[in-house]
Amino acid sequence: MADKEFYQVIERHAVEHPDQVLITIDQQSITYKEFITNTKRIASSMYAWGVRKDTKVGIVLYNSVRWYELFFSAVYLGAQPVPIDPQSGILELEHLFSYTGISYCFFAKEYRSNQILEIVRKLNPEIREQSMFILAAGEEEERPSYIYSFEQFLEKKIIKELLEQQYAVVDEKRVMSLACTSGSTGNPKILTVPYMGFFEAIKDMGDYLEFQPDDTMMIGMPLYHQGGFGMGLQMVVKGGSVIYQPQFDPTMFLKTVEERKVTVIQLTATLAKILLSHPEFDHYDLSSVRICYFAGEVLPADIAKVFVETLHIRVVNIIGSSETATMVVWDSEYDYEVDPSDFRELPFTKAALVDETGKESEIGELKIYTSAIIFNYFGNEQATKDTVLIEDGRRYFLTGDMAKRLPDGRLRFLGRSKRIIKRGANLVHAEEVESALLLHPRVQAVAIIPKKHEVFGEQIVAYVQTADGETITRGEVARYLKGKISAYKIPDKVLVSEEIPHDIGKVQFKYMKGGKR
Amino acid sequence: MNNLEWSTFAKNIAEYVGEEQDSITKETDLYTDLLIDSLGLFSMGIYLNDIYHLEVPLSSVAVISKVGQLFDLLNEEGVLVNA
Repeated sequence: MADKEFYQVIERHAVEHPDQVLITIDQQSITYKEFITNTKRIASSMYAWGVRKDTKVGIVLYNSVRWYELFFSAVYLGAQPVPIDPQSGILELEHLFSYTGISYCFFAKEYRSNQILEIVRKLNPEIREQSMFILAAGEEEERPSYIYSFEQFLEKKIIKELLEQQYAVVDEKRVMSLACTSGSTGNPKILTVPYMGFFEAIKDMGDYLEFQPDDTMMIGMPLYHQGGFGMGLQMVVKGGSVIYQPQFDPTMFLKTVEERKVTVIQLTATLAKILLSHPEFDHYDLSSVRICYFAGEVLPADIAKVFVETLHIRVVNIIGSSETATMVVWDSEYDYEVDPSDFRELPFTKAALVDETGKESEIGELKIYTSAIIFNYFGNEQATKDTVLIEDGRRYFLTGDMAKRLPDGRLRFLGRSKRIIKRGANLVHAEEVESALLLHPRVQAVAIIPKKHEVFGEQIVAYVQTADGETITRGEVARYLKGKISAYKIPDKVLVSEEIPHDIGKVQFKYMKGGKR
Repeated sequence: MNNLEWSTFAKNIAEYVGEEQDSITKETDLYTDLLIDSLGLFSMGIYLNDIYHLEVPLSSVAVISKVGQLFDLLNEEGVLVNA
């Protein structure tokens, strides 16, 4: 059987280890066999309602078994799942719907303070008409007729034999999914993820980390984040089990690691700090853990040291992105004598540093090859042209990360070349927040600046010039932006300025209403 | 017990999040009412640490959702650190 297809690999594991748990989220677990049964059932209904190859299927759900089932049900049919952060507000959703042409949307009623059902009700009527909406989590008796319950959705299905004929075979051009990420033009960017390349990257990393069917991985990052999803998939393709939490809870995390004898834990530096600060950390038996897998943030050497020397756990720190999957690694097994922020290529990736002219240089922008480099930015030819390069029949990606090549060949990252704020594991484009804030009737001009934060990297600070010269509070700004953009993009601080200077730190301009600079 | 005074605490929270002091009660939800996310909560924790010189474990802050819980946590479990 070809080892190039996610669904067939998972199905093979279902035959070999049918009762092995594939995924656990909160109190719900499903086995590999149940997963295959459930996804085929959902795919059957998807097909009956009209989902076909390349249909865009939106998934606006929090971490849940259903999320996983919906994703792979769409994959079964060759449709393109579009996972969307359940914290997204109406501006983000309207942009994503109209840009991608999502025609089926599975969503949760709410997530934390985000009332998704209410946002769906307020969507532009043209967008509502282009899509079928299915409430996939949460109950709501009073639903408009265009919102279906999951039970209604499941009522339609096709016969098993016809479903088997709909299994979409994989080729080099096949798109796995459309991934969404913060965008620099004021709107989210949409990435076209290549199926075969993504599969290869996932499998290569699973092989590198030597994941086995008897491994269990506990993941700190969310499923709707391409990194959180991808790292879990590295374990799934090897037949192991993955556990996600609905929301990070340090006590439950430690308890679960102990009770389930978790062998691999995935964290960010911020989550590790939270865990290590737990007053009863030493009371938990973490002896089953053999790898701590870091991603998403800078990893301080002292944190790596605790895991390696005190807890005797191998630390693997990676840098990757939604556009590239895993790019470079620091692995305590091989790299312990250097700082965890000095990375090397993996056997299956290739890095170069280039100057503004594209020439290789010792200090420059990271240009990376991985098998998972996106095909393109969906519907955005300019952004694609600026970043995806074809050389020797391979796709390379200009990451926007500045780095320095060290004498031993390793790479030390120096920062971003674009106005991106690294707030915990999230990347926030300053322009996206500015665009949203400029819609506020009282805001005349705005500049978004990062400010260093000792726990999570960078905070978002908004310098605001008001039209009436009066003050505006963070509370007012937050209430205005609620439901329009994701909660993590809302500024942490708002400072009122009579006139925004032409340079605040590195900002050399100001945004004015009417497009004036 | 650290003998924190509620109205001053509420004033400090109000100033941090940019809200009127009257709107801050013990039942005010940090996420849904004040629109703070989990990282914003840590940031607020550091701000309160600077004012009160009381430290609490990050892991305890991670599971809080109400202003009153934060007040109780600092009051009952906060450890005095050097100014």
